[in-house]
Amino acid sequence: MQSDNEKQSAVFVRAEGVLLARGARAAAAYFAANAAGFGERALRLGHLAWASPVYEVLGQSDRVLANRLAYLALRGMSEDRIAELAQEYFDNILRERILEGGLELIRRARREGKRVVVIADSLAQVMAPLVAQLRIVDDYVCNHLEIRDGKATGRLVPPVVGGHDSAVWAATYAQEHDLDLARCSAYVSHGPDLLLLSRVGQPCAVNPDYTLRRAARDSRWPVMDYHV
Amino acid sequence: MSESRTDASAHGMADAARPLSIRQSLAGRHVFLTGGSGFLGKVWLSQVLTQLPELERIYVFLRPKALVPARQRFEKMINTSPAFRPLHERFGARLSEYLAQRVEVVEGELSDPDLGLRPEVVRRLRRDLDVLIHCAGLVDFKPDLRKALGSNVDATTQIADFVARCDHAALLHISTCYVAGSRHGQIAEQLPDDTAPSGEAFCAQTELADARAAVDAIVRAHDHEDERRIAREDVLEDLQKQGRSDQHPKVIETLVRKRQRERVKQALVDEGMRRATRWGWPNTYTYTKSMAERLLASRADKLRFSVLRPSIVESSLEFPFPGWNESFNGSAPLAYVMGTWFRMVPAKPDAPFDVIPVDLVCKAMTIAAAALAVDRHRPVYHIGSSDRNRCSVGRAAELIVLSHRRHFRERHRTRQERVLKSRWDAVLVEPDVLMGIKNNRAAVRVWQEALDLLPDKLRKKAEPLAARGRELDESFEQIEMLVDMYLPFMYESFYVFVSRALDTHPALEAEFAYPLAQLDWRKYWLDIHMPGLRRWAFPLIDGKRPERYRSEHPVRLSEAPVSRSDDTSLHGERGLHAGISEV
Repeated sequence: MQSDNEKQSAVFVRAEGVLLARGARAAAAYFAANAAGFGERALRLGHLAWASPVYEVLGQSDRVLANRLAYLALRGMSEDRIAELAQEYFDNILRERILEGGLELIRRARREGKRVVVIADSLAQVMAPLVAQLRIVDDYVCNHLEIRDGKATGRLVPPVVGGHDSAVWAATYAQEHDLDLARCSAYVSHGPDLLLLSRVGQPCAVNPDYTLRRAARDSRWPVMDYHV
Repeated sequence: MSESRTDASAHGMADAARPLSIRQSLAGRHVFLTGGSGFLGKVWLSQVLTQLPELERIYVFLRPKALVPARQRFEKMINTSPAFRPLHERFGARLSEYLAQRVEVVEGELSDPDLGLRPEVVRRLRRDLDVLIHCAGLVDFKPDLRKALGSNVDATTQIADFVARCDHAALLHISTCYVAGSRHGQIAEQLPDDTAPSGEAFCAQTELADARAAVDAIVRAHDHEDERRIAREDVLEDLQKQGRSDQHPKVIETLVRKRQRERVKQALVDEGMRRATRWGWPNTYTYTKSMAERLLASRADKLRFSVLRPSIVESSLEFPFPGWNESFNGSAPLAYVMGTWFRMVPAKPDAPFDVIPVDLVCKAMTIAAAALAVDRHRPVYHIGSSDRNRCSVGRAAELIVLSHRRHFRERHRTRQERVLKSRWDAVLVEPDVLMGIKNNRAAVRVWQEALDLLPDKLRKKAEPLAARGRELDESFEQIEMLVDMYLPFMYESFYVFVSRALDTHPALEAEFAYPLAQLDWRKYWLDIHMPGLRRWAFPLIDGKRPERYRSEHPVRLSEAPVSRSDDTSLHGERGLHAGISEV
């Protein structure tokens, strides 16, 4: 067992809001708008339209339910279409919306010898091309759609990323990789990541939503704002 | 040298699951190939010439075409077909020499006795031949029954007779999984019994005699003065409609004869389809191929043979290169139509869409030929995917749509293609859906009739609209024919072809392994098959000439080896046997 001084450190980065200017809802909307057939597109977009205000409200406190609601719009969509649209979404939308500020934070962490771990609400199909392009991410955790008989059920495979569990996940990850959380940093932007910030030695709220901004002010955590 | 036939026979089926060394089994063997200029034949030939130098001799059977001798056809095929690219890349300037050592082009007529070969060639083949691979066939789904019988039935029986008279040769007959006909459920790897797909008793010999009699009756009926009069009236009416009624009598006479021929042909096409559907086959192709299998089965005591039934043969996975395709009867026309503005494709999404890459079929052919050479063969091999790695009609359609989407987004010629057509997904529907092809056609006809009702002045002004209506009607007619052709495979039947026989003697060598279970359909359709169709098959549908291969070192064979019987008495009656093409 290594002593605390010998342990490695890592930086935990929330993809949406820190590294990416688009979140899970935007991806779900892209998938819905490009479903097979016009009727299906209308239905899926309709679902997202009513889910959107709920997502906005819930997203401040617990994104698990919000993400579940957003991805429910993909129910019945084929795995092939999701894979193709994910690549398309990355190529046409997301690639242009990678935040330079977030990239700079990651580069700095790497220069400091820290392990880079991304936590994402996005789907694995979206994250895979992003991580492949960045080539500066050591690990990532993201959401996975449940697929049955080649089609999405609309459910996310537990554990769903986006809620307060990110703190628990980070602690487990730190243990598995022999990391000292006190020497780790975290850059997050959503209210549910409060617990994660409270577990690491160097917390930072980046482009925070209302809940996180208020908590950061109360806890005197540094806050960074750059153009999203 | 190869595994001894006697030893292998002694083991019988008990050692059937033992891996089979393809190289050892085929080393020093003489193999005869028919249909070598077809899609499947070319890839197989290229594959074995590239990967299996152990074969002693390959006899490539070709018919002379339009006064071009078989040897010249062979040279042109080797020099221009992309299927032979790996061969050129491997042997370069030495290819002519290599082919001269390995290949003998033989010329003849398959539906003639002794295949119309020269007697000395026949004698040599009877002594040396180990395996005859019969790939030739007329793959048109709705051909003239006379041609289909000649190419698919008579040729097979002649080949069976020829092989039976050889000292030790065996026959690998290439058929199709769809000889199963219109039925549901699991289709076993068995030779056909004496029932038709409809469940009625079926005797191939009797049916063949009846079909021949029907063909003769149709030909006789059309060689009648009344038929000639009808044809003449049709021609004159057409000329009048086109404003060309002042044609020279000789021109009119030529047109009448042509119309008569067309009428005979149509009657024979209709007769073929009538007989096929009456017994439960979806088309004349599967009906005649099944008859050929049944006739082979009736000779099982005198003939060593296997029937290899591929399903829908599609673009290559790896060999000669990913995406090679020149098949018209696979998914190409359907995929093409799904990239147009027509959206409603009648199909059952859950039905299996049994496609198989051509190079996998060729590997299976080589494995089956090796098994025949050492007496470890099975009577029937299904080479399909529905049993081992199923791709449903719904999934295939989704992948076709996604491929079109990718294409229109990345390589659009117009903004309309990028913005609208890329999102204009085809969807699978029931055949009687409101916006289906039949109702679309009816709407166009109503439109045309409405235009006809306009007063003369307005009608002239509306002529561009009428012309557009005619164009649409023609397009819809073609789509309707296509939909009818595919309906039995995509909507009416739900079958799984059990494909396990090949597992009983898997190839020992890794290069001949049959990796169907590992095939990733998404990667195959999006990155290999659809780009292949777009490059090789869609230009043909558009009436364009696809790319040709240009070899740096064109192959020239010496004059000597090609041979054909000059003795016409050996050819027998040829009236019914014209027009053999290759799979």
